[in-house]
Amino acid sequence: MNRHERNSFTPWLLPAGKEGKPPLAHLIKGAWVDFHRKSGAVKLQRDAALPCGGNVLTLHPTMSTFKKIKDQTLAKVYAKVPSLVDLYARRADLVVNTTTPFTPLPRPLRICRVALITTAGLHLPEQEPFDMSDKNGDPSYREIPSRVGVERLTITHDYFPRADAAADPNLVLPVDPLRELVREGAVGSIGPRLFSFMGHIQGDHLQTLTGTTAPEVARALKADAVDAVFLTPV
Amino acid sequence: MGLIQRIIEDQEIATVSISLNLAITRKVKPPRALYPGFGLGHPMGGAHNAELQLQVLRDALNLLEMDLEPGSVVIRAYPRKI
Repeated sequence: MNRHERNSFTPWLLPAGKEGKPPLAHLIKGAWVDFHRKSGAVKLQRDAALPCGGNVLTLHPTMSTFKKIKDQTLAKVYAKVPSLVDLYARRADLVVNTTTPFTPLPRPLRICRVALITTAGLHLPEQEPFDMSDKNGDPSYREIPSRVGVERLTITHDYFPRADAAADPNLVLPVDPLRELVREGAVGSIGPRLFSFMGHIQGDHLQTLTGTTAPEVARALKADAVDAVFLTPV
Repeated sequence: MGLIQRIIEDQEIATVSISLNLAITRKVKPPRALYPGFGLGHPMGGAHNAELQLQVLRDALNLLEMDLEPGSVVIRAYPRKI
């Protein structure tokens, strides 16, 4: 049983043309669903069209509304009080490195191919959201075509104050500024794929990130003949 | 994020990142980073501030062509609005 099957509610029916609106016959359930959909705690997925019209919709709860509110409130507190982040940095069980890998830029930036990576939990609306229900985070990643219109991108990541990034995704994935540098001639070109992770990876997922998903992305960037990567945390 | 950066650099792709917290960056030690002094959730400065975002990206990418020690974090202050 995969995560979606485990978390799915029993499918329920909506009349044709009423997608996204709770039906009258399910007024109480519909109000509950609507409330949680607005909070982002559940997502509706159309699984099948019925021969008699209408659709089978399945609710996929991504997390509890309480947890979502708690995480966003904490993120705002951390943003307002930077010394709390310093305290976290001192006390948290972070990986401590004394050396670092280093690769010189192989050619002038003006003829380099550059790609972007963010850990803001950005993704296209049609891609599976990051799993906010796992307290250790979600070590997977999403590929975003670099020709994307940034206004299409959405965020599933509650561990940072995300209102500004949701209003302008260039704040965390500077696609339009990179295009401008290419237009200016300061950068050669943009890689065909950009990549988005979710930050705040802990526990066993750290091994998945460093042993599996991040190396996959590194190989994809090599396949795309990318010379340089710019990364943004949140 | 620094862990991802290190893995990509290890695959012989030059990388540069934004640091939002010096203490975390110094522990993780990515190959190159720019610390612009922005708050959490705002690595490029401000929403809809295209000029500031462009300047930060330009400065960060320029670090790739500078002769820096591996693990350098360059600190630069930016006005809230350029």
